[in-house]
Amino acid sequence: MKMATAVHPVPERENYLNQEYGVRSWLLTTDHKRIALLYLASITFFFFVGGFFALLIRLELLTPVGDLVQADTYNKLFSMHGQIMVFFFLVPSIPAVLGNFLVPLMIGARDLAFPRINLLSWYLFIIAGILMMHAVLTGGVDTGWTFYTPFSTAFSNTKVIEAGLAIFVAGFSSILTGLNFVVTIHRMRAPGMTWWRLPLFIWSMYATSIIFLLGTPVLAITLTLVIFERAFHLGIFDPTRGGDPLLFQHLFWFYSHPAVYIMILPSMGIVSEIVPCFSRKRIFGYSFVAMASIGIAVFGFLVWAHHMFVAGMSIYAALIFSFLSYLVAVPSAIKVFNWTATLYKGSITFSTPLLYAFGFIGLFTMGGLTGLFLAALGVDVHVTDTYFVVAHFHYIMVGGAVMGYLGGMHFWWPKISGRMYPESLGRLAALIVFIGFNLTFFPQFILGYLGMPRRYWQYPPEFQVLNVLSTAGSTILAVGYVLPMIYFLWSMRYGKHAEPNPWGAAGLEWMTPSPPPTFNFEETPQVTWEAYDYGNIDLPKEVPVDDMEQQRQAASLGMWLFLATEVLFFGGMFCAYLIYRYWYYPEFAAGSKTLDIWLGAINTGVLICSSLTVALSVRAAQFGKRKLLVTLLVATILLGLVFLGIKGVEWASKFEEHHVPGPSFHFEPTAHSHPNTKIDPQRIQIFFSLYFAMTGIHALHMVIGVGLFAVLTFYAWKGRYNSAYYTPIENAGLYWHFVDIIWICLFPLLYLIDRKK
Amino acid sequence: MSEHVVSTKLYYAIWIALLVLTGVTAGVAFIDLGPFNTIVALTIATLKAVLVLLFFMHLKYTSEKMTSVVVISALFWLLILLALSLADYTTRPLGVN
Repeated sequence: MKMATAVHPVPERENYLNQEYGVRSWLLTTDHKRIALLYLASITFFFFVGGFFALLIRLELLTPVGDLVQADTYNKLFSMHGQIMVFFFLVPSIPAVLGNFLVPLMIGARDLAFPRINLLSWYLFIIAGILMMHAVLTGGVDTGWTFYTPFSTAFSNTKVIEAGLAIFVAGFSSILTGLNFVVTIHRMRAPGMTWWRLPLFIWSMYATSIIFLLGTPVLAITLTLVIFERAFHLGIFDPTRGGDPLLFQHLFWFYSHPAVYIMILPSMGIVSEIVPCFSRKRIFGYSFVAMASIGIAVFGFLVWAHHMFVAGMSIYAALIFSFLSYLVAVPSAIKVFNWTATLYKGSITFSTPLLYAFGFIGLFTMGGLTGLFLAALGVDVHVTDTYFVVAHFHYIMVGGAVMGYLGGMHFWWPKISGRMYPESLGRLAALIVFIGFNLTFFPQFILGYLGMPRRYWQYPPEFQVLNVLSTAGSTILAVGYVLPMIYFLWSMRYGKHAEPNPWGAAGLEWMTPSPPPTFNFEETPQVTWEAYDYGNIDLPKEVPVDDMEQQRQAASLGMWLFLATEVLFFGGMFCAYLIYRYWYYPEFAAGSKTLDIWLGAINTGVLICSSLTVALSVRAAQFGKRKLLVTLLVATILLGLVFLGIKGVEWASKFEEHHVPGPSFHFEPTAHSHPNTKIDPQRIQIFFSLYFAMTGIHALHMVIGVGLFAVLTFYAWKGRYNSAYYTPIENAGLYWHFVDIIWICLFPLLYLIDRKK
Repeated sequence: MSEHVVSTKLYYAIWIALLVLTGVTAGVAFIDLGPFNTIVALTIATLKAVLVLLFFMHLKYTSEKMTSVVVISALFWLLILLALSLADYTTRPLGVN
């Protein structure tokens, strides 16, 4: 086994924890390890807030009648429990804490590719958290974690906008984390660390990041449309104006089903690290486990409508989604079988992390198999919205994701803190969690099967015995969660000092001292072996390292990834547009006729000209022509402002014509449509809702672009850019061209629907 | 510096092509082509987007395979969103409230 065991921990040795002291050194840090700890403190806070709501729910359900809280409060409790646990604990938990800490260490890098963006993502998370807590403390939300329309847009009197905004910002934070991970894994691996030598935890982080990047933007645009509908009366999901509430569900679950895999994939990665270590064996079927992660990330996007089988979607589509849902079971099963095959004939130590991994494998398997019940159309009709569903997803999210998280925290705690936790207490806590969990959630399977619906504050008395069991289990579970927090804190001061590699584990993170120095390794490691394999030695290929070039490539890849998220962000609106245009063609044609085609065409021309000036400015920067660069950037800004000005004129005329959706909306059908086509003036609001949402968000992107170029012009004037360094110009250019492309698509979609005489 | 430097002539040519296509697409909209109006408008828009992507955004010149992978992934995921949503909307009654 190859390990640098020569380094022994000396208490005074300089590491990332004692490098600097003081609040400032933490709040302004760009060290991925410190940011991981900032996240750890934040998500622990939210875990206990969400857990507090869960305990109140269980207390209320101790008796069949509503005695502790009434219906309205109960609605808020389960809504906020879900929103906080999903968006503020489970989604960020492993990626932002253990992923942040381990990704650079495991691949032999000094830090993530964009350390400052990493800190920014934590601040965004905190802003989101403050918004969420403000919503919680000033009245709460009662929409369920799913924000279903039209309740959330037209009826709920709670803090929907604020909570939606909070989740929007939290989503932006996870997009940045995902972007950082993908670029880091592509660009920062140590020499010799090839893709097939990556630890499986890295593969799972990579798969998770794909979902962050391509799923989260669709949730962001969906919540934006909900906020628009509540705040500005745009009517995209409003059935009274011909809108389709099911469209909200489609868009919401396009993210929120894959989000389940955001929660479970990282835990699978952790189990893939723990199982080989404590059975002293190579992982069985490395490449299958790695590819199964990617498979889950992709297949996870094909199954979302199984949440909507009884909502009124077409039976034909339901059949397709039901079939596709079964597909996800395949890569999940591959993983479970490979872990058990790894354990087979291994030399097993029943230490705390492995106990959690065992818990994970068993509970995830139960959660996964009951998921197949729900994917089956006939069974799903019977158990939809019952406690069977609640039990199923808690087996995945708590039995799976949280078990994995705790296992990982125990496994890497010596590395993170430099101290050992008390092993016997650790095993006891793992046992308590396992017992408490099953006692809480297993009865809920039976309750659901018997027909007890979810989301009610009272129930028929015959369900009481099982509910009492469940509530009793939740208190045991709470003890199991509080215990590790106490002994982790205790160990930071009193725990035994940890060796660099207390478990005798493979992986680069174990070859550096515990806790690691600020830049992780004394020397960049050279990797000559596969993950989990210690015998094979070969020579790493010499990789020429050019720092400037590497940074340029990393920044460019980061920008392209960001643009990919933008495609999906606008994609949500394109999807809505496509569906409504298909349904309401005459109304869309009539609405389109009211737009000024020439203003639209001129604006297209203006943007194309600005794309030219941007392309030329990148070229000017490449040749180090400062004055030309400044001139071209100023020209771009001016063209951008012209575009926005024309847009403003257009919007103003829409206001005058009362074509803005809302109470004062008015449309004279005969003036703009074929005399013999029957059109519904109410439905035209959908066209204008989409018109304002799409052009408005496009214009917002323009404003951001103009601001960006203003800053770049200032720096260009100062002479910061030259032929060796012009990455910011290049990346801002990519952004601007992308915004141009969006407009190029919006022009025919909005202005050219039916112009023929 | 590995980034490709594109000649200004090519930039101007692309620019003129984009402007001409904008004029064409606006003009064609007034001619009655039946269902082909939509097809022509969307084809021209796609062509313009591809020109911007390939030349202004240097996709044609990049040696970086990952960039193409990212672009293709984004479009593929968009396709998933549109195609599977339409699987529902094209097979249930129109505009049922």
